[in-house]
Amino acid sequence: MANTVIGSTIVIDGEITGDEDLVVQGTVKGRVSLRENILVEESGVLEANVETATITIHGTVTGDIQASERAELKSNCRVVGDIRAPRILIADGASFKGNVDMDG
Amino acid sequence: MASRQSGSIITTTEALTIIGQGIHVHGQIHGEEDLRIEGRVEGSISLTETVHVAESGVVVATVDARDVVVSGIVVGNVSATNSVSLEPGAKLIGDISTPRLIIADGAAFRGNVAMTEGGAPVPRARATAGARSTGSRPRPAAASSASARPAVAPPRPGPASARHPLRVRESARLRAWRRFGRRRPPAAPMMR
Repeated sequence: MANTVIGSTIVIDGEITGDEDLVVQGTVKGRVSLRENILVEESGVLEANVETATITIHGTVTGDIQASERAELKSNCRVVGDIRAPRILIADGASFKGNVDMDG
Repeated sequence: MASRQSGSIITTTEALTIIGQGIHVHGQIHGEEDLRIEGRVEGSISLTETVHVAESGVVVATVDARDVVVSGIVVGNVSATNSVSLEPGAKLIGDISTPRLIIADGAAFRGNVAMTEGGAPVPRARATAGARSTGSRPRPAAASSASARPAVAPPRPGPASARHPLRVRESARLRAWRRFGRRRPPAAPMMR
């Protein structure tokens, strides 16, 4: 309960900030800035610059990702953009285009 | 798909969008499913289903949906194709346009109401005690001007306005203002 979920038919155009977990099944464009975890599900599309603690991507992300803890690209995800995080995991089958910076 | 490991989060219940308590959305939201707002949304919301503003929810936005249920705070115009419901504890400042409006005891509201039918405002006078005769139509000209701009009525001699439908509306406005803790309404001259 009380997790934030962006459902599959929802489109948010703008800015999301907060300190709570976020599940993206729909589309978010703009900017996302959280202090917690982001999960982009298979149907999720993130066209945004992302700042977060951890992000787990099953879907599509276009934009730069800055994670203070971990970025995880699961198989079948598509990511275009630069990733900056101390720990970056890319699974077999993931598609990724961009720079990686693990210096933290 | 496979199990979601990695201690992070989250088992989701499908097809329900929630803006949680700790979340602030600034911008446009549109979609075709129910939306529950427990956090804060600024901008605009446009849905084909139900918007539910929970008790902790704060919406500063234009809201456009099939049904709108408010338990929290909404500042902005609300337009629904089916119904608007203000639950106890709700606060709404803005104009409402809907075919069905439910205001519960304990809800606070300030703004205009346009009861629409299929999108267009219904040009019908509100039923007052004096205007309830079946034969004669109750002054459509006066009614439409009342619904057009009821906020600031021109000063009129006190006793003559006693039967005017505007009087009912004004007292409703008065009550709404008291609920918001104001001493007196802005410019309305009905105290004379």
